[in-house]
Amino acid sequence: MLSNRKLFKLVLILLLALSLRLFNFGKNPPSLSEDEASLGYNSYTILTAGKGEHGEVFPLDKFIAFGDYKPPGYIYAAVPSIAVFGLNEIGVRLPSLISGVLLSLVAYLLVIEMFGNPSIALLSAFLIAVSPWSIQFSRAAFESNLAALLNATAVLFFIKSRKKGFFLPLSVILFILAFYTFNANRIISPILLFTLELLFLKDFIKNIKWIIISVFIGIIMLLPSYSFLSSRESKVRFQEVSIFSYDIDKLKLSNERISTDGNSIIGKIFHNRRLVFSLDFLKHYTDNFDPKFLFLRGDGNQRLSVPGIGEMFVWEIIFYTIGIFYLLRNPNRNNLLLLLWFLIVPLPAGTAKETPHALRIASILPVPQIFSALGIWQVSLFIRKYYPRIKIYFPLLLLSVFIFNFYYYLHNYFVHYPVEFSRAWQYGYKEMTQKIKERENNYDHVLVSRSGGRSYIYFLFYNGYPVSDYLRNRIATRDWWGLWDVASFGKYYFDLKYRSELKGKILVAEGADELVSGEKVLDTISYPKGDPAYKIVEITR
Amino acid sequence: MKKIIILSIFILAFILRFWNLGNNPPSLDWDEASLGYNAYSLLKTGKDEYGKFLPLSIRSFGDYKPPLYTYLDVPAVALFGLNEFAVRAPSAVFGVLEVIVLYFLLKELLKGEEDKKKNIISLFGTFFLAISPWHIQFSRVAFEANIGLFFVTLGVFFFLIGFRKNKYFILSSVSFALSIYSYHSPRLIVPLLLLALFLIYRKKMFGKLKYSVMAAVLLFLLVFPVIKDMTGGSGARLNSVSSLNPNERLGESIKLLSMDKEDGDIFGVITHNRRVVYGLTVLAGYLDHFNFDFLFLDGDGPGRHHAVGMGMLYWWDAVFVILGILALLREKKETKLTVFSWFLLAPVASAFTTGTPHAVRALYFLPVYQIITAYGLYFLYFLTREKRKYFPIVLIFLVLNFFYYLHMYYIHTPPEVSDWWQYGYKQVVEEVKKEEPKVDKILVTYKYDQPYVFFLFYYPVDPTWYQNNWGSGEVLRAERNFGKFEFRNINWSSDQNLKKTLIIGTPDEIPDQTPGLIKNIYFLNGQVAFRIVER
Repeated sequence: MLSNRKLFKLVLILLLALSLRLFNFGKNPPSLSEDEASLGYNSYTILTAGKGEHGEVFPLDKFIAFGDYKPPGYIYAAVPSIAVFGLNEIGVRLPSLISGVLLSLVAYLLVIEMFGNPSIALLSAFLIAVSPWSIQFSRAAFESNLAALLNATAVLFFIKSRKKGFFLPLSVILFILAFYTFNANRIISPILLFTLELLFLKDFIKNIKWIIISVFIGIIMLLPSYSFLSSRESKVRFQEVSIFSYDIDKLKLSNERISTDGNSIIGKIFHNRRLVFSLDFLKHYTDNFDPKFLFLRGDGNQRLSVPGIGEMFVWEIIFYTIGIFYLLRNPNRNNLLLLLWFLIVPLPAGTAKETPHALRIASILPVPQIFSALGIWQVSLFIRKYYPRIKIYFPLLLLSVFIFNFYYYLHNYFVHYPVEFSRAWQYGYKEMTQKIKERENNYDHVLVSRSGGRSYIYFLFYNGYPVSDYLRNRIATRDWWGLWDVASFGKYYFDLKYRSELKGKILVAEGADELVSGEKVLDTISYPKGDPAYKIVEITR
Repeated sequence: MKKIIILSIFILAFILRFWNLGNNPPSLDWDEASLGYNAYSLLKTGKDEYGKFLPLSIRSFGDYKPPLYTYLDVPAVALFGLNEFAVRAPSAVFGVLEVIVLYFLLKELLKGEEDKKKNIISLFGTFFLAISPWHIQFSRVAFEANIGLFFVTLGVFFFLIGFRKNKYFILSSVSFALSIYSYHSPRLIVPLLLLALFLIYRKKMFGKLKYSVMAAVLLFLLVFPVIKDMTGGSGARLNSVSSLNPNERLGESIKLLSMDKEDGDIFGVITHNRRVVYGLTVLAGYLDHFNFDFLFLDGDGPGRHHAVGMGMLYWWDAVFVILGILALLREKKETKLTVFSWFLLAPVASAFTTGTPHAVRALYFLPVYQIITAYGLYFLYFLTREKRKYFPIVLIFLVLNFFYYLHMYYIHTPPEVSDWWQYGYKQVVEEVKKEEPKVDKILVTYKYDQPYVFFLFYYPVDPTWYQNNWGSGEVLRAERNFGKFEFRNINWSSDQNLKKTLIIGTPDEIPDQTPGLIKNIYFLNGQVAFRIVER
C-alpha cells in the first residue's frame, strides 16, 4: 500500500493542483462567457423552481438553454455549489475546478492500477496538476472538463472491476454520466466501454452477475435520452458542426473528377464520395494530434487556451513521443488500453469542421500526461543504466526547464491573458448589469445591444431573475434550427433595433462603436486594457 | 532472380521518371525556364543571362540559385535543344540514380544481417523510392533540391563504405560538397548530418584518423567559395524566406514586453525575450513537417509540389512508418542512429523558413521515409509469419494505392494545377512570334510574375544580345524590359488607347470581346489565362 512519504507527495501534488486552480478563481478568466452564464442560470432555476430556463421540469435528457440543447450533467452538478456560493462566477465554475483537481488524483490511481509504479503515478498526477490544458478548463465552467473526469474515473473503475466485480456497474454509471454531461461523450462513452470489454474479455465475462446488473442499470439510465437522441433537434445540432453535412465543395470536386474520367468505373471508385469523406474525416481527426497544436499553439479559440501556449508544455514533446513508442513496443493489454483511449476520444471531434478542438477531446486527459510521465521515466532509467555519472543532472536539467516553462505559462496566464483576451470572454456584462440596476428605476425601458452576444442571459444571471416571472413576461421566439431568440423580458429589450419602437425614457447599453452622436452618455464600461467596451446612454422619445 | 527484380525496379524508376517528362507537369514554371535559359546562355557564351562569366551562383530573379543544376543542364540543352525535356532531364537522370544509390546504400547499411532480411528491406526500400510520389514529383521537374538529394545520399553511401575502403572518405567529401553547390537546404543539413555521423561513428573514425582528417580538410576547401559567397549576394535569398524576420514575428511579443516593462516585471521581460520567440517559431516550422495532413492527405500549399488529392507519401505509409520505427528501434545502434538522425535533421533547413511545411526544402526526408517503410514492411512480414497467406492482402492494398496515385498524377493533376505551373506562356510566345513584325511594342502583364524569362526561353532570345542589356548594378523586378517588350501590369483605361501595340494581359485586366482581341489562351481547366489584343 501507499507509504507515508508517497502519500505526502500525493497530497502535496493535489494541493498544488488545487491552488493553481483556486488562485484568483472567478476573476481569471475575467468574466463569464454566455455559455457559463446559461449553465449557471439553469442550475439556479433548478435549485429555486425545479425547472429549466424554459420551464422544463427536472429535465433528464437535455436543457433547451439557447436552443443548443445542453446536456444536463454540468447543470445538475452546479446546483449544490450555487446553493452554497450563490449565483455568481464561483458558484457556476466550482464543479469544473473540483473535476480538475480530482483528475489529478484519478491519474495517480490509474497509473498505480495499470503499472503499479508510484513514481510514474506521481509524475502523471503532477503533470495533470500543472497542465495548461487542465488548468484552462478547470478555471471556467466547461462541461467537457467534468465529462473528462467522469470518463477517466469510469476507465479506472473498469480496470478495478477485474478484481472487484462491483466496480463494473459503477464504471458503467460513470460512463453514462459522462454521456449526459458533454455531447462528444455521447459517442466516446459507448465506444470506449465496448473497447474495454473486448480488450479484457477474459476477465470481463467471469463477472456474469455484475454484467447483468450493469446492463440493467445501463438500460434504465439511458431510457430518458432515447426520445431526444432520435429527435430532429439533436440531429440539427450535429449537422451544424459536422463535416458530413454541407461540405459541398468536396462533393463537387469529386463529381468533377468522375466526369473528367468519363464516368468510368475507375473514376467512380477512386472519387467515390465515401472515400472523399473518409479522407476528410481523417484530416480533421488527425488534426487533433498535430504536434504544433498540442505543444506550441494550443487551440485557436482564445477561450480554450492561452494564445501562443500549447495544450502541453513544449519540452514534453520528447517524453510524450518516447512514452508512446514505449507503449507500442510493449503492446500488452494495459498499454493498448491507453493507446486506444488516446485514439478513440478524438473520433467525434474528427467529424466536426473546427479542428483541432481542445474542448471536444478533453476526455483524452490524462492519457497524454501519462505518456509524458512514462517517457520521463524511461529516459531516467536509460540514463541511470548507461550514464550513471550524470544521473543527478537529468532531474536538475528537467526541473530547470520546467520551471522556466511553467513560469512562462503562469506569467502569460495570470498577467497577460485576462487583459489581452477579455473580449473572448464577453467581458463587461457584469458591470453593465450592475450599472443598469442602479439606474433602471428611473426609466421606462432598458434597451441592450446584442453586439456582445446573447445579452439576455446575463441579465437573468446577475439579477437572479425568478424563472416564473421570466417565463410569464418574456417575448421569445424559436427559429427553424431550434435556436431561441429572446427579444424582451420585464423592462429589458435585447436588440438596438427596438430603439425606434419604444416610447418614453429609455436607458440604453450599447457597444462603444454603436454610439449614435448626440446621445447623452451616462457611464462607460471599459475592458481591463482600458479601451471602452460599452456605453450606457439615456434617450427620450 | 534477385538481379532481375532489382533491374526491373530500376527500369520502373526510369519509366516513372521519364515517361511524358516534357508534358507532365504541363508546363515549365518560371524557375525551370530560368534554369534552362541560363544553361542555354552558358552553352552559347559561357556567361549567365546577366553576362557574368562562369558564375558561382545563378542570379536569375535576384534569388541567386545554387549553380550546379544549371551547369548540369548545359549538356542536356546541347543535346536536346532548349525545350522542356532538356530542362528537366538532369533531374530525371539523378532521380533514377538516386534509386540505384539507395539500393547499394541499404545493402551497406544492412551488412552482416541475414540474407532474407537484407533482401526484403533493400529491395522494398528501393522499390518504395522508385514509386514514391514525393520523389517522382521532384524528379520530373527541374528543381535543384533533387540533385542535392542525390549527392547527399551518395555522400552517406560513400561515407559508410569508407570504413572498408579508405579512399571512399574522399569521394564522400566530394559528394557532400556537390550537394552544397546544388541547393540551399544541404548547406544547413549536411554539416549537421556530418556532425551526427561523426558522433555515431567516432570510435571507428579515430581508427582512420588520416583519411578522416583528409576528407574533412578537402570538404572545407571545396565548399569555401560558397561560404565566402554566402556572406555576399546570395545571402539575400536566405533573408527573404527566413521566418526569423523581426518585423513579422516580434510585434506581439514587443507589445507584451512593453507592458511588463511598465509594470517593472523583470521575469516577464525575460519570458518575452526575442530568442524565446524565435526558438518557438523555428520549432513550429519544424513540427509542421510531421503533420499528418502534409504527409498523407493534402501535401503542402503549392500545387506544384504534389499530385492533387495526395499527400507526400502513400496512405499505407502511415502504418508502415510506425511499424518501421518500432522495427528500427531493435536494430544495431549505429544503424538506427544513422537513420533516425537523418530523419530528424531532414526538415531542419525548412524549419527556419516561412511557408512550412515545405515539400522541396524538406525533400531530404527522402529516402529515409522509404527506408523506414521498408523496415515496417519487413516487421509486418515477420509478425505475420504464422499467417503468411494474409500477407499478399497488404500488397494488393499497396498496388491499389499506387494506381490511385498514377491516376491522380496523370489524369487530374495537370488540369487542376496548370495555373500553378504558369501554364500558357508557350502558347503566348507562339502567337507573339507571328504578330511581332506588325507592332512597335509588346506589352505583357506582370500578374503571373517574371514573364520575361518565358520570352527569353521560348523565342529563344540570343543570349549574347540579351546580356548586353544589363550593366552590373541592381536590376529591379519590373524593369527587365528588352527590345520591343515591356513587362508591367496593364492599366486598361489608359493602355487601351495604345497604338501599334500587342497587349497580353489577364482576363481581369482586359475585358472579354474587346476589339482587336486575337486570341484567348486557356489554362487546362478551361479558364482564360491570357488575352492577346492587338492595337
